Amino acid sequence: MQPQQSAVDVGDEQISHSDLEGFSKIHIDEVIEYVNSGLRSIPPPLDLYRRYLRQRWDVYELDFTQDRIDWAERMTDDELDVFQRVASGFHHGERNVEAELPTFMMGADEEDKVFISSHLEDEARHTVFFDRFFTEAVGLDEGSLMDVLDSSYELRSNAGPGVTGLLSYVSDELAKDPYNPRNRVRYATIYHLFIEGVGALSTMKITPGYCRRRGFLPAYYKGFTATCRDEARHVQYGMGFLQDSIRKAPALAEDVYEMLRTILDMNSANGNQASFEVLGLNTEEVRRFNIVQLTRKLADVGIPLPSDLQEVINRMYPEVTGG
Amino acid sequence: MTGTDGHGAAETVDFLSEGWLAAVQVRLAAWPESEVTLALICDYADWLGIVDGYDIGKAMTYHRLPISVGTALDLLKVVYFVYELLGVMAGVPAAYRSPVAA
Repeated sequence: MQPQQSAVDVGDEQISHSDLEGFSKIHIDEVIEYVNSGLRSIPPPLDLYRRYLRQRWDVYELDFTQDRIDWAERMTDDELDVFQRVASGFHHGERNVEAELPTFMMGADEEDKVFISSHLEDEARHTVFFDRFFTEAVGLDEGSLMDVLDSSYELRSNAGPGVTGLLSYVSDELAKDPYNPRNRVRYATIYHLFIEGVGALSTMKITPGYCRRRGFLPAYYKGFTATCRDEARHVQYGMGFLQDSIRKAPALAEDVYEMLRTILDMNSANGNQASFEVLGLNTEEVRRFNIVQLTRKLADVGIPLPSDLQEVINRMYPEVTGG
Repeated sequence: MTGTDGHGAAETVDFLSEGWLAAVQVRLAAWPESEVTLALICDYADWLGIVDGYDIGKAMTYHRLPISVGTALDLLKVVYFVYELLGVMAGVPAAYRSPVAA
């Protein structure tokens, strides 16, 4: 007799094998849970690479015609304002991680390099996805990718350079010494653990959840949900890297903590207090989800949470960023 | 060029020659090297862009202001300390009254 599969396992299987069109029928919350459930058992890098080959989707298959109509005719001004602030955070987050990932690849093992090459292609595709959304649905002036990024930059809800700015500097430090374990752990903490595993996962439900409830922006929903599935491979790889690094050298846990202290100092800036109520999500609920994600990720890495960090985490704001 | 301070070589420079960069003042501070804990560098064209209003957060993210002394973590902590300080000051209910010409 075959063991009975749980509902989550069945959902995971459907999500794992869905094509782009199929994402219109899958709830974003199920995909977010798929990312978390993948952390129970982390596959080696070449297995993640094989999964990438199977799950890769074509960003140019999306048709934003209905999205443009919804954007221009069906959404309120308040909804448009908050929606594009959240989407802009992801647009710049995706571009940032695409641009900074090669430095992490430099000092990686050969199997890891193969996986990271697929990770890099994912991030490039996600950047093009948001570029297409902002030009074809929102109607920002078309031009180069940088022209569109410049146009959407002012829409971000983040205060100052944010975690994307910090990642750029951490990437500079890694480029100077790409095999240094402390540099690599700090990089994986801000990128894989925080930007992808906490910020993106906590705020990914905001705009697709709104699209699903209102029946708006179908191409955005499909592309964003497919993007979320890609993040599962990235977060799995990053958590595996951190687990392995700290298992070999437990003192590296202090680099994780120090990076998180800096990120949370930045996160506490008053300008980061975004509100998502207009899109139908309770901001406090998103904030609590953010805290749960960070606490879970530290448990996934296998390190305790120091009391000073716990206090700051309890006060943190939702971090709108993508990766 | 005018002025010195306790560190001996701080200068205020008005670049007015030939009319280029006429509106910009730069304070050059030659601190003893051992006392510098954080310093950024910038090439001239990018500096002009920032003076002209290019977003400094973007300049940081796009590697236009690399660190020459210090660490990424120290830099971002300082940036956000100043950011919050300005936010607190802006929240003080006070108004500046321009001196009225006699």
